[in-house]
Parts: sequence; C-alpha cells; structure tokens
Amino acid sequence: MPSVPASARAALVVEAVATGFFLGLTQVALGFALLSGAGASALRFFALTAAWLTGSAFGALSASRGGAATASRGTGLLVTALLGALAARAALSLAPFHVASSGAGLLAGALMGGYAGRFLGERAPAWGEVRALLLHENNGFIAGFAAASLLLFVSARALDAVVGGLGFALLAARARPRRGSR
Amino acid sequence: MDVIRRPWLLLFLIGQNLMLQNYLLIRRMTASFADLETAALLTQIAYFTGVSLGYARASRVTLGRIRSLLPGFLVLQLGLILLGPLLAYRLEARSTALAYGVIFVLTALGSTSLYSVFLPSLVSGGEESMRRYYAAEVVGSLAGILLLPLLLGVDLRLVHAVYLVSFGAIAALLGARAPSLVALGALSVAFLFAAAPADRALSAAIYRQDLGDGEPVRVIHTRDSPYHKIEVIETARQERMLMLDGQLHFEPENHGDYSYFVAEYPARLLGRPTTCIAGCGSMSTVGRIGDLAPSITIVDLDPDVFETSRRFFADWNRLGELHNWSFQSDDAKHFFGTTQQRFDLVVDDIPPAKTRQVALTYTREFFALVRARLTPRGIFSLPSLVSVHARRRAYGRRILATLAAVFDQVFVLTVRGSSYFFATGTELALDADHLRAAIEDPDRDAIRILLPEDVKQAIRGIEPVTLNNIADLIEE
Repeated sequence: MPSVPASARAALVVEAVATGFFLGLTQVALGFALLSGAGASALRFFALTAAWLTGSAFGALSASRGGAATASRGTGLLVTALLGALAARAALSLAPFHVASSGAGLLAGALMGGYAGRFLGERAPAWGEVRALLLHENNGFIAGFAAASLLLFVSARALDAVVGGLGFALLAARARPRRGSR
Repeated sequence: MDVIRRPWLLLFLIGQNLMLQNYLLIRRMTASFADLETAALLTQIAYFTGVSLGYARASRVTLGRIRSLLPGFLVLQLGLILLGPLLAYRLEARSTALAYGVIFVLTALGSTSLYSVFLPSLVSGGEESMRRYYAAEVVGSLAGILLLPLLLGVDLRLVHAVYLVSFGAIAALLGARAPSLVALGALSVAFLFAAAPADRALSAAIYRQDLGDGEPVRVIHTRDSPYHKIEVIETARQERMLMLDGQLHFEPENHGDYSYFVAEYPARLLGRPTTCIAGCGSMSTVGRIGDLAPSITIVDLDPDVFETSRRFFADWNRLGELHNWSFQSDDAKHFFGTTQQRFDLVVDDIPPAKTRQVALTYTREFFALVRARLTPRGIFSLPSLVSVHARRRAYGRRILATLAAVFDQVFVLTVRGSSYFFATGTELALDADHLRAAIEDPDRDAIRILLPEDVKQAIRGIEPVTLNNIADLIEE
C-alpha cells in the first residue's frame, strides 16, 4: 500500500470490507427476490449471475476513463444501483411473475455488479497493493453472504432493510472528503 | 511471480473454470448431505474462502511451486467430486458437524485457492492492468455461466470435459512440462470414463445401507439436471425408488394412502374435475386419477424428473396409456401466477418444505395464486406428513393456518399420522357424514375429520406462513 497515514489505511480496509459485505448481502437479497417474485428457474439464476458479471467487467473497465470525475461517477453508480435494487424489489413484490419485473431484477444485478467492478478499479490506485484490496473485499463478501443467508431465516424484510441501510451508509461515506487517497 | 505467457487467456480460463467448479461443487454437495440448504450455503462460503486463501498466499507462491502442485490440486478436486458423497456419508454417521467441517476445509483448500493466486500476482504491475486483468477473469466467468446451460442440456459429463480441458490449458500456459501435462491428461481421461460407473457404485453402497436394509440395491438410472441429481434405484425385490439429490421421493409401499387421499379422494368428491398437479415426482397421482379427470396438467420445474418418471415409473403413472395429460415445465409459482387456465382440482404434489425454495410454495402468497386459478367449486388438495394433531411439531398446523387465511373453508382428514387438507371457497357444501361416506378405506370410521369450525380451534394462535417468515416452517 502507498505511504498513507494509519487512519486512512484503516478507513480503506473498513470501506473494502463493508463494500464486500454489502455486495454479499445484495446478491443474496436479489437472488431471493427473483426466486420469490419471478420463479425458481435455473436459467434465471444463470442470467442473474451473467448480468452481475457483465456489469462487473464494464464497471472495472470504465473506472479508468473517468479521470478526475471517477469518484463522483462511482458515487453516481452506487446511487443508481441502490435505486435499481429498490425498484426491482418493488416490481417483484407488486407485479410478480411479470417479464418486466424479472428484467428489473436482472438490471439491478448488472448495476450492482457494475458497482463491484467500479469499486475495485477505482480504489486500486489508493491501495497500491491490489492483493490486499481483493482480499479484504472478498472477506467482506463472504461475511455478507453468510449474514444474508442467516437474515433470511429471520425475514426477507430484515435483509432488505440491512441492504438499504448499509447501502446508504456506504453512500454517505463516499460523499465525505477522503484523506490519503490519490 | 515469474513471467506468465498470455496472461489474458490464463485469467479468462481461470474465470471460466471458477464458474464451472462452483456449479459442480454445489450440485455435488447438495446431493451428498441430507440438509440441502446448509450444504449449498457452506459450499458457497467454502468456495469464496478458497478465493481469500489464494489472495492471502499470492505474494508467497512461486510459479514453480504452483506447477508442482497442479496434479495434487486436480486429484483433490476430482476426488472431492467423485468421493464427496461417500466421505460426507461416512462422516455424517459420526457427526454432522465433522462432515460439514471436513468438506468445508477440503473445498476451500482444494478448489478455488489455486485459481485466485494469479489475479493479484499479475496486477501488481499497475492500476491499469488491474482493471483489464480483472475484466479478463470476469469475462471468463461470464463465458462459464453462459456455457453451463448449454452443456447441461446435453450431459453433465460435458461440463466435466470442458473443465478438464481448460485445466490442461491453464497448466500449459503456466509452463508445465510434457510429462506433467501427459499425467494431467491421463487423469482427466480416466475421470471422464470412470466417473459415471464409480458414482453409481458409490450411490448403491450408500443406498444399500439406508434403503435396502443391507440387501444390495442397483442404481439403474442417473441423470444430473440443473436442479437435481436424479436416480432410480431397484431393490433385490425389484421395487423401484426415485431419489432426488439423495433423498427418497417415491417408494411403492408407502404410496397407496398418499395418492389415494391427496388425489383420488378429492377427485371423487368433485366428479370429473379438470385437474392440475403441481410437482411431479413419480407422478403416481396421475395414474391414480387418470380415469377420473377429463384433463390433467402436470407442472414441474425439472423436465428431467418428468422424463425419468415417465420412463421408469410407467406402471404407477400410466402416462403411456393415458392421453388426457399435458406437461408444463415451469416453476409452480410462476405457472399459477401467469396461467389463464382454471381448474376444478389442484393437487399439491410438492415435497415437504425443507428448503426456502420449496417453502415458498407453502406461503399465503402461493396459496392465493392457487385460489385465483380454481373454479368456484374447486378444491386445493395438499398433504402434510406431519399430522395437525402432532403435539411436538406445529408444521401441519402452520400449513393449515395458512390455508385458512386464504380459503373460506378447509377440511382435514388425518390418516395414520398424515393430514390431508382440502381447501375451497363457499360454494362447495360438505359435511362430516358426506366426507366420511366418500372414504374408501378399511379404517374409515377411525379417520379423524376436521370441519372448518374445528379448524378455527386447531389453528388458534398460530401465524400463517408468508414470504417473510418461511424459515419458521422449515424449522418446524
């Protein structure tokens, strides 16, 4: 990692873990929303994974083109992804089994995947050593995936609430001035 | 790490194999443990833990070391896929936690940790390479997920073959020498030829203990669909059983009561009902009412289960001799949520709610979809293997409370420890005498009947099952 103050380094670690955690939660929440609101077709599950991955590839590649505006574009993508997830959840609840609702779910997956790729591409310069960034983000993802699965044993609404709350917390954190990042 | 030839291609193949491996491991482990959901969750977490292990070790691993470990990794991965069910079975006999723990560690160590060392090693050159290399691996994963439905449509062995060819290509790109590549190739070919017979032999050994009372059983059919590992086994007494993911779904001796009460009894109450059967299994319910119903629509997510049962349980489902049935390959929720058809009788032949996916078909939301597709005098027939009168478990009463929240009237017959629910609107008038007189069973007078007013008492204080509390039903 480049020479950054310890507090800034800790902030980067917390952000990477929290982002991974959020993405793990979101992936399970979207999967469950599609399962209950669109059906249990394997093709739909493959499509959600494909949408997430496609978004991820585009997100990572587009992070290099932003220049000075990269951070604000990343924030804009997170806002769009959160709104997309909200819209998908609403559509799958209010108009279940409708093609457009399934489409909204897949689009939300692509946007979230896009944010995942964008986040890694955008944060790589600040970390310098990308291995640590990948490790912390992945550890957060594992924790988020496990937590989401346990939350589903409480209620789907509880999972949605945690996804929304953490998403907006990440958004608030992004909006704050960053120390130590280039 | 040393210089790697064609890093883009390497990462693409790694991404593809990660996706194929994820699918193979999850399918294999869900067929190995009794608790499908826990097995799937732990395998997924082990898979990503392996990714973290690779990231953590990336800076300390040399290319030469990886090359030397490749055959060991392949043996471990193939061993896990081939012998995982037997290992899980043996360990589960001692302790379920031990079985999950061992499989978790083997999966984390042996699967993804090999692949995940490359991305962080290659991207140490700069941030631009990070974006491009990351995208290359993700595009490989995308190729993997797109390949899966195509390959699975033909045979699971094609997934194995593509995985093994990619593994060989990865080894070649890493600079593995000719003897090592030949060894990997020989191992791969041996696996492709031996996997199916070895799997049948292992399954037969496991089922001999569990279902054959120590007598030999034969696995006469195996099919891996995107949803299930489907097996048909035959006992020494020539009895056939249907196994889905290692769980017994049909055995002849226990099916007489079931198919009579869940299908024939309500069909006779209604006369000649247009019928929909949700969930197919062996489809013995179709055979049971094939002569009573003018039309039967069979709905099941997995067309491979339908084809297997059509072929191996023809004596029970009589699909060959009946001509009044049709099959819809669809999720039951999606089917009832989108069809315009209406039915006089809907028979729920879906397995008990042991996973969230199945439990979604025991919710108030699902029952409302079914009700909307019933004719005014229509009946929704649903069984519970846990009686509503059971003291320790409320499973049957939870389902009953959910039905009562959606339908105007619910009648319950409890027969030899199982309860059968018949939910309907206000137009069908039934009383206890009528219900009992219609029963064709030697123990007719001993069968307990609950009328709608009795149901209200039975479910007092019990919450209906909804999308937001389905876990409660699984835990009952």
